[in-house]
Amino acid sequence: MEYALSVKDLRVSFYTRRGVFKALNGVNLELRRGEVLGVAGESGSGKSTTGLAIMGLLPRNAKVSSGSVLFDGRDLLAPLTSIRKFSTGRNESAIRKLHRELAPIRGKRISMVFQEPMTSLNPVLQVGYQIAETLVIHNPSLLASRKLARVRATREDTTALLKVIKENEGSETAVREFVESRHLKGLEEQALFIWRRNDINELRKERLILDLCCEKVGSTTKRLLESLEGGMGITKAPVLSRLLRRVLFKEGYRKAVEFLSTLGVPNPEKVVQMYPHELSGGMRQRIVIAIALINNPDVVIMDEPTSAVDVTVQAQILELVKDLKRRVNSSFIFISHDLSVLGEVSDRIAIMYGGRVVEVGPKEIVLKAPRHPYTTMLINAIPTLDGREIRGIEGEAPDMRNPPPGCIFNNRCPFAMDKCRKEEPPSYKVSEDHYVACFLQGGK
Amino acid sequence: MVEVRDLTVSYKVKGGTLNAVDGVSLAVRKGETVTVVGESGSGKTTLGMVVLRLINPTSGQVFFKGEDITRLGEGELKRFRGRMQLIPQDPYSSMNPRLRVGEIVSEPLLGREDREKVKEALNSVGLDWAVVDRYPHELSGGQRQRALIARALVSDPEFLVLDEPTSNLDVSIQAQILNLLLDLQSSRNLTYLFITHNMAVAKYVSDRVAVMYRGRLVEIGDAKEVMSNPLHPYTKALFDAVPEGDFRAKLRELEVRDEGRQKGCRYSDRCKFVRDQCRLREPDLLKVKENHEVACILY
Repeated sequence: MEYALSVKDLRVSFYTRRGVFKALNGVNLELRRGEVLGVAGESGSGKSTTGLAIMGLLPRNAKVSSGSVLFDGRDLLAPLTSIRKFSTGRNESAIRKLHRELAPIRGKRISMVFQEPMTSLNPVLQVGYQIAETLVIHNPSLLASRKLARVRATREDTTALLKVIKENEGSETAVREFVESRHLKGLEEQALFIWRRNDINELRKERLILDLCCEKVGSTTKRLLESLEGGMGITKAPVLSRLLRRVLFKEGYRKAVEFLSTLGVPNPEKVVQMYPHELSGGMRQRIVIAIALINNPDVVIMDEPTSAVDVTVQAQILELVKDLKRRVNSSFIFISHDLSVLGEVSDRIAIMYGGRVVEVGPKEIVLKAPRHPYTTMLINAIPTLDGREIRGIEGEAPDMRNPPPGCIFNNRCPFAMDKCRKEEPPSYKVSEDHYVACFLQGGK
Repeated sequence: MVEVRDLTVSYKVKGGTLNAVDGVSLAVRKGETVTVVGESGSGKTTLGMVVLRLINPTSGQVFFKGEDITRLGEGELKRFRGRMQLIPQDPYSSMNPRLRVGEIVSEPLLGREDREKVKEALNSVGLDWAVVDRYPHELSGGQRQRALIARALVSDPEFLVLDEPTSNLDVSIQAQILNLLLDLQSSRNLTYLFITHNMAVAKYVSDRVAVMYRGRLVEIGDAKEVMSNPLHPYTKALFDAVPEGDFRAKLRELEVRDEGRQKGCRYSDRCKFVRDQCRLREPDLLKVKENHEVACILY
């Protein structure tokens, strides 16, 4: 099985004045291509830390004592694990190195949606700018070729393009072939976007597609765009870089409008000109999702994307995620404390407790026939509409400075045996694809 | 026990007034739990605050045990304060961080430091006596919520307003607290006004359910009745939006709300059963069954 990303035996602890918090104690997770992996757990279970560690977004007091995050054949956290003797200073420089190494990956190949949509958007920038920014940084050549395509295309080209679209009823491959044969790469997505709109009539669509041509740009701008399209970075020359950036951002806004409309944002032309405070919570969350997805990343980590919004908005966001799962070929890690939310969107669910994955398996099995005592009790604690009695889990989450020896759940577990207080249970395979870290499942 | 009549709370906002609570009438009987559900901005928290007279109503009346407390001054209200208490939403910001738990819990006793009372209150919420010397930040979320409940109980109230008491807690702790609240209700014969946005929690605790939308009661009735047979389109939409326990997707999109005030039913711009008459007049609550009222033109 090929994995989009895999986390192996990850151990992270935070050094604070009040002691060493062992946040992750050997986390193993595999994310398969195209799936939504739900990660559930209570606060302090390490689910968010796992997400942040994958992105390399750890503070300097975080020690990665072992483990790896394998993505695309390399270990993302290698600079941190290679520290021999931990000190915050040494860790800080390692983290700086990590940030430099990960910069081309973050936002392009792995991206993240954070919990609080208000705080993860910049309040003083238009949302369109913030979406365009990720494009300008990670994918300027795409923007350049989009723009250049409109410059190069002649009326005759777009007329032919329209014919191709009509004949093939908007088939993507046919349009792509046509565009490539005429060296107009970048035109296809713009034309197809117009073709797929349903707020305007056919005639208007045809006009708009025909008008994707004969744009004029200055000769300097054209030269700059061409060098960008040819694979050079954005020039650093003072005046020229500003000129180029302005053109790119403008193009980025255009692309942002297209992308937002596919996410079901009404009036995207207006929305990109707005500031975060002018938007409702659900809309802001869509913007954040747009920023995360616009570069078509391999992996998207969503950290409680629906916890700060109303149930009705939550329902919309969940619908959106389900729809995205079908449409894009990214893999998702969906972190939430709410098992019923995960039940809606996930393919597989991993249950975390005390910095470990205690159970992982297909969602139907984990939710309907859980094998770990913690999962069972957690499910019994959720109030549902069928009105069955709920039972809380006695006791409190363990103090992660001094986690109990043996199984981390032994102090709250009604089935705890002597063995549980001495040894840490390994992960047992109980059925196809279903793993449980509990001695009760051992010996099978 | 507690009754409000035609209650309106309005705030001046840019470009007019906003009725956070708009003509709400509601009675809570002794010993029962009435749950108010609704989205954020529906006015449910404001309603809870007005019932306790922590916010003054713009018009309408509030009765506590038959006495009109709408126009009472602060001094006179003191007689009632101990008998009705609030359990606030956020256990983190509802406690003075500089006071020890013992001091926080004994606050409603107004200076009479009564060790026995505090001990009994802490006991009844399942907290150890040892916490009295701790500061709030030393407690876990669940313990903090328990301490807040103890604070509310220490003055022997008859009526409690619970404003989303569990929405900041983990599910395993949430279940503990909900069960604790139910136990306390039966052992102390308490009356609850429970405010929540979580339909499943509402189902678990309530005797009666009141659904609010933009400041107005749109449906009220016996919990079983409303849950099994929701009538108002908004109530139905709320249920559909709940991720189901059996994971059959039943989500339906609610359109993004238009903030402009329009004539007629305020739900008409999102309602999928909307008719012409809906836009003419705001419907009143109508009794469709014993213990079930709904404000919708369809009935």
